[in-house]
Amino acid sequence: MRDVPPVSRGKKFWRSIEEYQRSDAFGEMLKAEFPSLFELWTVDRRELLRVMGASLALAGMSACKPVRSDDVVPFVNRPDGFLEGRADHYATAILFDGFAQPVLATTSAGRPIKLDGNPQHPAFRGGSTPFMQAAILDLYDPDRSQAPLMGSHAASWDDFDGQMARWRAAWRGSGGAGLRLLIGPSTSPTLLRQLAEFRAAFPEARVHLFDPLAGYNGEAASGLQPKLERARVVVSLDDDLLGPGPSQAIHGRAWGERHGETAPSERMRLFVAETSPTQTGAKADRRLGIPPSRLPMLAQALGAHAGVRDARVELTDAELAWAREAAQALTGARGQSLLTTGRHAPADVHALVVAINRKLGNVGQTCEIAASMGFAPGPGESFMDLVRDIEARRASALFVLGANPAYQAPGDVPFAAIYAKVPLRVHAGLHFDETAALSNWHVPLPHALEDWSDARSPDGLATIIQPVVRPLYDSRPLHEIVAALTSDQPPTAREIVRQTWATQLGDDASWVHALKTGFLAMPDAATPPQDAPALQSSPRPMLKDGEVEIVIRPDPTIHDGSFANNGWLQELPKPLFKTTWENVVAISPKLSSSLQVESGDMLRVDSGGRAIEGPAWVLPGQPERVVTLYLGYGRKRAGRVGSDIGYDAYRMRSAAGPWTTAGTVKPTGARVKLATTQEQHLMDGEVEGLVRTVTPEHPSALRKEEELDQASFYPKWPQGKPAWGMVIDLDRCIGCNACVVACQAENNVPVVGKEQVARGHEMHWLRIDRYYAGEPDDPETHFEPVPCMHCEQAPCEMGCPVHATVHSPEGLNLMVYNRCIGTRTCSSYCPYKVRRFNWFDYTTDAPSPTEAQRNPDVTVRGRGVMEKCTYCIQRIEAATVQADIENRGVREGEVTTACQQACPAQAISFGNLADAESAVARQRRSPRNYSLLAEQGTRPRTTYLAKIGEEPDGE
Amino acid sequence: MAEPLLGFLGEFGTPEALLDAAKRARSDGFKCIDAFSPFPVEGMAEVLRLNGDQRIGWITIAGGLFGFLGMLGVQLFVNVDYPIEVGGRPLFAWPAFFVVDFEIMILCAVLFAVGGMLIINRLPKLYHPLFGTPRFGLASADRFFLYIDASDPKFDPARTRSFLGSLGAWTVEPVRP
Amino acid sequence: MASKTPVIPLTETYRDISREVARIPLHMPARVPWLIALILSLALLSLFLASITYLFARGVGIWGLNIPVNWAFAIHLYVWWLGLGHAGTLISAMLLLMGQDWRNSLNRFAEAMTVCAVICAGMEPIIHLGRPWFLYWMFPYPATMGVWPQFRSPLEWDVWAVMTYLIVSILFWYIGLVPDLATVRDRAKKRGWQVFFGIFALGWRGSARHWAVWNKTYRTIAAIAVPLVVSVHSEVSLLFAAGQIPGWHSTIFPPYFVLGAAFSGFAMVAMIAIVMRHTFQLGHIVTERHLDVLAKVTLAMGLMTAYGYVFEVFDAYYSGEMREIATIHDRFFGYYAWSFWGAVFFNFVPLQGLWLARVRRSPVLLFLISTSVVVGMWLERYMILVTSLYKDFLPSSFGYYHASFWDWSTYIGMLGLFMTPFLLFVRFLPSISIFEDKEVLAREKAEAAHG
Repeated sequence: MRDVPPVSRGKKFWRSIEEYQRSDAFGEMLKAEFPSLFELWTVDRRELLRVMGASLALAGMSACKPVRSDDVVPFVNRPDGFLEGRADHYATAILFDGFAQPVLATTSAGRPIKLDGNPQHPAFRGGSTPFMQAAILDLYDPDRSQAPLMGSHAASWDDFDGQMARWRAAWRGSGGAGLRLLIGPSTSPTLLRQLAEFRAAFPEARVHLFDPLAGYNGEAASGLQPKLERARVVVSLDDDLLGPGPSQAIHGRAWGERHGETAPSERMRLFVAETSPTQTGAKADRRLGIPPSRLPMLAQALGAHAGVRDARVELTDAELAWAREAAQALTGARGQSLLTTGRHAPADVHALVVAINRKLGNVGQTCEIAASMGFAPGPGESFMDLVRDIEARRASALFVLGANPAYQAPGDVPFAAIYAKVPLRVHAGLHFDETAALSNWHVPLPHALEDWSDARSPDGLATIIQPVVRPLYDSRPLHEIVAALTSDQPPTAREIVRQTWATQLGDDASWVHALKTGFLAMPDAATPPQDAPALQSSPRPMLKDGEVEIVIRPDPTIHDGSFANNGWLQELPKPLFKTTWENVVAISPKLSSSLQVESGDMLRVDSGGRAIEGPAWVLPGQPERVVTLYLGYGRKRAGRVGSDIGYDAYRMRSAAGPWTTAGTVKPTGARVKLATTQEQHLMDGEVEGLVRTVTPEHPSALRKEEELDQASFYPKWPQGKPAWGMVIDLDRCIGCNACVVACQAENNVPVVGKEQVARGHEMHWLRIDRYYAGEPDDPETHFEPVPCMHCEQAPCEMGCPVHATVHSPEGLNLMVYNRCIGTRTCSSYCPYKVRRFNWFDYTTDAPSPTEAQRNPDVTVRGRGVMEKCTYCIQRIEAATVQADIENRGVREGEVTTACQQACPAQAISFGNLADAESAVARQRRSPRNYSLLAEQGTRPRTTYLAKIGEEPDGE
Repeated sequence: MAEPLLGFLGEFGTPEALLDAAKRARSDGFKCIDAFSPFPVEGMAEVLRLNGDQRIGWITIAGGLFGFLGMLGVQLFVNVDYPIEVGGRPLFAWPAFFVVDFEIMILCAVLFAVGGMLIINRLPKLYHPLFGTPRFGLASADRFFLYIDASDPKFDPARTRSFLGSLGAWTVEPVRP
Repeated sequence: MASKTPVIPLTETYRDISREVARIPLHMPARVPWLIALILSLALLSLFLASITYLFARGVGIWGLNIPVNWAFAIHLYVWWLGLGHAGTLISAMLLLMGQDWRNSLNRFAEAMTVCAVICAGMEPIIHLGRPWFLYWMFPYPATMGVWPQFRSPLEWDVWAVMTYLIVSILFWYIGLVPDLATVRDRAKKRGWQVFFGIFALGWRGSARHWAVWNKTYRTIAAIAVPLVVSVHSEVSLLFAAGQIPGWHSTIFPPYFVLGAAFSGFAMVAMIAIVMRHTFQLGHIVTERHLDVLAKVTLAMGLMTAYGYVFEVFDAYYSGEMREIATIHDRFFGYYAWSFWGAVFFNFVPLQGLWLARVRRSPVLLFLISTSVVVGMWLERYMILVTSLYKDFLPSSFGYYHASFWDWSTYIGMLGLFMTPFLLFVRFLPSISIFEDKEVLAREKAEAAHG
């Protein structure tokens, strides 16, 4: 009975499971008989069912229509340049690695339909990340656990409470002897308070931290908190500042402000030494790829130059050149420079980095040293301590709260077996996941959007998390569960949270204000430790010959696996690979040629007697003898979207050194078709002129005068007002994909699944093209977001026989879905190939309740029609209506497209070209302004601002 | 013989024979004569004074004009009735319009021509007295017939019959309704 | 070409011709082969029906299409079918006007072949629609939404061109058929046949008056049909040339396409002529001389098409357009090079055999060469479509196309849609123009008489 799914899915699900299996058996037969037939078979059965067939599973769903929660307080004062109108906004936060991501939740008729960065939050200022945008889908995830389970049998909260009462009594007697909590990373002041009380109540009990991305031994972070916005020179030692992480939006914002239209003196210079290519490396002025084993030497070299401590290190020429330049830049900008390193860097590097920053007087300026905001495990409170205690039979009851150790434990810890040794195993989580399956009890937690809680954002501010919708399922807040450990009549989560803030937000007015604005300052915390905490260093992998260094990193879109069941993030192209729906094994071009493999060939990676098999991805810029594995896949119980895809990189980790190890890699001979959105082998095309770089010497992005030529045989059409246009600043774009997910959320863009993506059927209206230039071993990487260009002389319109795509007086290239008959001429003629076609019916059987997320202002497209970026016409119309009501024109900044709103780096601006003062009009006049394929004479309304670089692109 | 006589049908073996029989009938002053053959006999039209008839040509031209103007009208009207910008092209995109216009001109020309041909030839006409005459079926195989109608002023049953014989007709048959 | 070697042997008599041709409908010779062929093509037809049923049920996604290659089989076969059709019209119309007697034994079934091919061609763009049930939106009718068709679109042009072409071909074919229907009617013994042919013969009596008007009409239509053929395929080529995609955006397309069409069409006629001649022992009506002339025309068309190839390449280099040149290179050496070289080989290499009279007059060889031409043109259309689309401008959106099972099943099934009506025609209608052959014979006899 182990793998019986949660009961609320009822009999229906059972039948569908069988159908599912039967369909596969049949599929196998087909595969043998008829490959291409198999292909299309899988398209509808496996993929579409898997991605959207969940409607089968909704026996218990009808009861839980989303209902707005009563005692929440709407966000009233509208920030500038932000459209109020159709719906309510609530300031709250969602969680990422335990940190708050302050968001503004848009609800329509009580349904949350979109999340965006809280525009008033001093650090985020409206910036989003893909994870923030996609969190809404997790709320409506039909695979979420829906009721308590005992073993795998349905149970009720009353049963659970009854049990709890009995256990509590026992613990009261023993002072909590043998009782252990294992909690995921959290910065919730309320939870910390509760845990303190818990410790007081049960002195014998212990609280263990399980934070697979920090380490298993309770490693403390170095406490270095970068303040990127204040730094003019940033040197990153393998720290993916701009990549996925709790601070991505903050750093993106800082990056944006120091790029694009900024004074050269204010411009940030970025030096990156990385062990595996990242977005940060892609944007670096000087990038260096090195194996992890070289990182300490490099740090020491920098230290030596900064005069921290004198060390003799052997550096290669490349390293030396980079180190010298980086060090000079650092010391040249004392107090305005910043040296950072990733949390996976060895401890001594961390220490050295802190010391160097002190020496340069950066501490307090561009960075701060502070104690960890989250739950800091005391001695004996790490995950490995727990493991040891269980082995020693010192743990009789284990509550796993919001963590999934059964999946995320390192490969050298057989956690399933160890966990089984605990007599009482209780798991609380959003999903009936790998750990839940091994527990005696599983109780469902609410999604952050259904929950009362609080958390701190990386900048130190706190946000009170208020529910924007009544819980969809029979879940119970974490705070109440924790409270129930000690008290017989636990208060409600709301009361618990309020109690935490009693002193600060005593009166209702301040409480309400805190909820409205969505953030508040912390009461002065303990003074930060003057010196960095001592860090125990992890052992360096010793490289035997024939071995390669293995680097293990969170997946760019699935992160540590907690987003595995999120269709948007699964289908989101990884920023650098443009692969979807699985994780790859990144290898360097040189290694690939020596192994004679190319992207898509299966590789077997062995390390410490454990092995995984994954598809190779030849990653330009990857250090020669380094192989990168990505966490988050290979899940067994993520749900129908995220289970059984990719390989499980956790198995390759060791508790001692979770981030780097050594091992061998060899091809298995098998080959798979990767679902990429950019055909790897076809990238030999002509790229020059598509992504442009200007230099101080050549400030103009124009390559030839003809690009300004507007001559035409056609009489000019009268220009309506306003004339909508968009400008995308490539110098600011960090390729983070926030815009892509925002577009998907705003415009009801369907998820189509792996096979469909592999067949070139992906539906994203906005894509981020990734181009390389220069040497494969050390290339320049360029990101270029490509939405519809809204050409003034659009080839697509000319091709449509039924007036289904036409031009609006305001310059929009309109797409009339219900007039489209699907000749696809428009897409054939489109030089940018930004149009997407509904090859099948992708929307009808989307799983309830996911359709509750859909934007009511945007048509849901049916089969056989073309679709594409509309410049978020629904927002334009809403603004126009509002303007008409007030009998005025639409104001500058009144319309923001979803992508523009989401972009943390403010790379996208949108507005009225007819208004010479508008931001877009100004940017259009910039010498950096150029349009894509200008020679085609399409006169795009979407134009680009060239990157600013030191050496010009090939002319 | 209750039934009235409609005319006489003379049978010949070769197109040449038919042709000069027709010539002689004409020169003899017969007006209402007709010839039947499995294929158009060269020169017959001249003999029977048929090639002055240019109606088909005019009908075809009329059809062409009708199609051309009609379709052009449709396309112009459509863009007046639903004036919307398409790819920055002008509303009246003449070069584009003439493509369809040309096709429809041809279509109508052909339809008119065919229609005209059927009307002028009074077809379809599934029954005709001639079909009643036994040997007439051969007119579509390898025999050639000359027909003299009773309405002809010079017509006289006995003399006309012998006249046809004197033209070298293998057989001469009366045609009755 | 009224020349020494007569088209119709003088030994023939009018009666023989009637007998030989009319016997085919009336007392079918070669019943068994015909039945086998019919069963085969019905099988294919049902495959076609199955395929489009599934297609309509699921959507065009069942084909290998994607973005960027969102046109493939349906469109390239549309061009291919239409091309095959054109020869029929050209043979009967153009050669009629040029007074080429030899056409008279071929034009009838060539025209029938045209009609069948155009039916297939017309089918393709319809089934390739995302929402075929809204096809009627392409026609100008007062819609409740007040929307009209968009007459600047080459696709809109297609609708009218193909419709016109289909109707005109049918009329031309039928008008030419009427006198022969009369012949068959008069020879029919069974009542059923008499009624059947009687009705369709419209009561044709072969009166001199009829003949006179009929002649004018027939020649007028012929005169109109020739420019029609040219316009139709030029217009089809604009479907591509009007787009900006490198490899399409070229002014040579219209003549290039028309020639290619005629090329494949004549090859097709040759194939059918040889088959019919063989199965119905029409050796003395469709003589070796016919094959010889057909072969010569095919050769000529082939050479002109070859010129089109050469010029297209020259054009790309001459334009200096970086992307045009890239596309040409990609056709030479790229992923789909097989389709380019395949087209070059099948179109032109075996063709050269036709320089030799022996080959031209050998049914077997001519048949093989014609087949290779039809295959070659198939590859050419595929090449033009796919190699241009899969790599257009932005390298980021390049993408391969691979035909899926349903692409093939729809195509192969459609051969049934082509063969079935053609076989029925052969079975029930005089598939060779009786009266026109008699006309020729008469003229020849006359010439022979006057020495």
